[in-house]
Amino acid sequence: MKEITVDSLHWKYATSDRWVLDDVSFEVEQGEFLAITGPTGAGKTTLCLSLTGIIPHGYNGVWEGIVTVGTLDTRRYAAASLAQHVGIVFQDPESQFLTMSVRDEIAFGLENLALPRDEITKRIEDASKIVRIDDCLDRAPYELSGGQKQRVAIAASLAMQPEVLILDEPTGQLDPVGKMEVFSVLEELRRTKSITILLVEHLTEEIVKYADRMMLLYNGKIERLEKTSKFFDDVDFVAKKGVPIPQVTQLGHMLQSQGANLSHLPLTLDESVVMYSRLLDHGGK
Amino acid sequence: MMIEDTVVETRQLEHVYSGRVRAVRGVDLKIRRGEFLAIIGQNGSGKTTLTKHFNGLLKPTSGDVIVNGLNTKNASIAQLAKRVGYVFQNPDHQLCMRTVQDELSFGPRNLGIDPAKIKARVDNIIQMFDLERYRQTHPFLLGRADRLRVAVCSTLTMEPDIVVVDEPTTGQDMRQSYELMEMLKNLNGQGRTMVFITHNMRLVAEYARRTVVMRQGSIVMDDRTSEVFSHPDILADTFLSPPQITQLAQKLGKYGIPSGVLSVKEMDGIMNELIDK
Repeated sequence: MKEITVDSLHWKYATSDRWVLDDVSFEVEQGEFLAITGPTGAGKTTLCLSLTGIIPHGYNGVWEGIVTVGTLDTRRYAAASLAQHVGIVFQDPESQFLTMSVRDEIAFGLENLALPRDEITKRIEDASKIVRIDDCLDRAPYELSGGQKQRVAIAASLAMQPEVLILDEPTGQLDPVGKMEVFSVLEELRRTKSITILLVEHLTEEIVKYADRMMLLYNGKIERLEKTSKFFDDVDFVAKKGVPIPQVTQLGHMLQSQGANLSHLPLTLDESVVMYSRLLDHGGK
Repeated sequence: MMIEDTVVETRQLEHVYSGRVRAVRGVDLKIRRGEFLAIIGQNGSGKTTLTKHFNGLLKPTSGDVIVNGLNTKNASIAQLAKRVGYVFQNPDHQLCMRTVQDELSFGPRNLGIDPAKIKARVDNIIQMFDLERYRQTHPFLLGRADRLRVAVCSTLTMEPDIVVVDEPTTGQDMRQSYELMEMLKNLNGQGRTMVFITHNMRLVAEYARRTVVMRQGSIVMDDRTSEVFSHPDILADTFLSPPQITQLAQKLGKYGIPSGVLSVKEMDGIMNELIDK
């Protein structure tokens, strides 16, 4: 089942002189994990906002094309009603905190839906357990570590029980542990809840472990949309567009161009250890 | 007696915030002229608190910080600003003028330097870093990467011996991060001492000759970068791990690959030699 359909989407802000999204079309299956990469200014954040209805409802600009989330055409529904279907987590979690406790923070969206008190309590418990912040419900969000803050933001989105979760560089300001915390939560969500996940992220070495497909956005256009296993097939092209290549993949590419016999390029450390051991055991040229 | 080429020295440096948070705990560190040094560690490990002592933004709760022979306790911000340029994690926290040219002139003007000299310095930096087209542009109209470049340049016109950059990668894509690191490398090549804080281990591996690892306000390792990354166990205690290529080298150790490999190029050379044998 298609969860998201984007058809010939064009968008420019009132202040832009060119299309920021320029004829973007793609589909995402229910339960899929799609990673979006691309250099600064490619249109990644704009794309995220366009999938939640924040664009066009919250911005002035010119829109062409159709975006459907679930069965809803985002132009016809206000961002508030879309919020029950699609949640968004921004790079800086503090930009979305409004209250003085983690509990209130997660409750905020639910209260706006006018859900019964019992239901709200239960959803707060569930969401906070999934992201493992159930022991800090009574603390102030701003007191938490970066990784914890980001998990609060994710929990607040999850409590709305969205079908789609969009994360716009959620680990940008986190240290390596904080990053891993967020990735492992996403992995778990997908496994246990089969939520559709769209993740904007530069850390390709990590996301290749999780993403089903990867998209390269460049100057507002989709330059590449492939299964993760095929995304780096043309290393030179992807690197030229400013996407970091996993180091083990880069090494494979160099060795291959020097004549080494590799069936394909490894993407993860574990895979590369196996492949390069074999190469060293048998000599590979 | 301080050794001639030590540019920054901390002696038993302690910093306690609001009387209760011990952010830096008894740090002894010597930075020598011309070094290219990375400071790594988890969020909250004290990296920024430590480096803010180098130019007197923070004063020690106890202990001493000596910059070019000057104890920061007795030095004014102006005296220290001449010696240590500090680039904040968020460039917008330091940009305050209406044009790039004014931004670059701001520091030296506050140091009371002769206007003709200021102009020469600003022109020189504008030329060196290809900012001519932005000379009359408002810094906030630039993209984030260029704002960060302007922030670095605005410290350079004060001609500091030491430049500290707190996380050169936030809000930048890979190419922009590398461009900035190349700029720092270039400055280091001219004899300036470079200190940078980052979570990006690839940049550490490729640029820093020496790496300091912090944990809970203390230094847990301080060595050549290849040596630091050769100890994945100690790094793991601080919730860090070496770059992927270094981890690969370590997992292929039984083939005689050294554990301190720092770049893909280096690994490629080693693999080729082994395969050819």
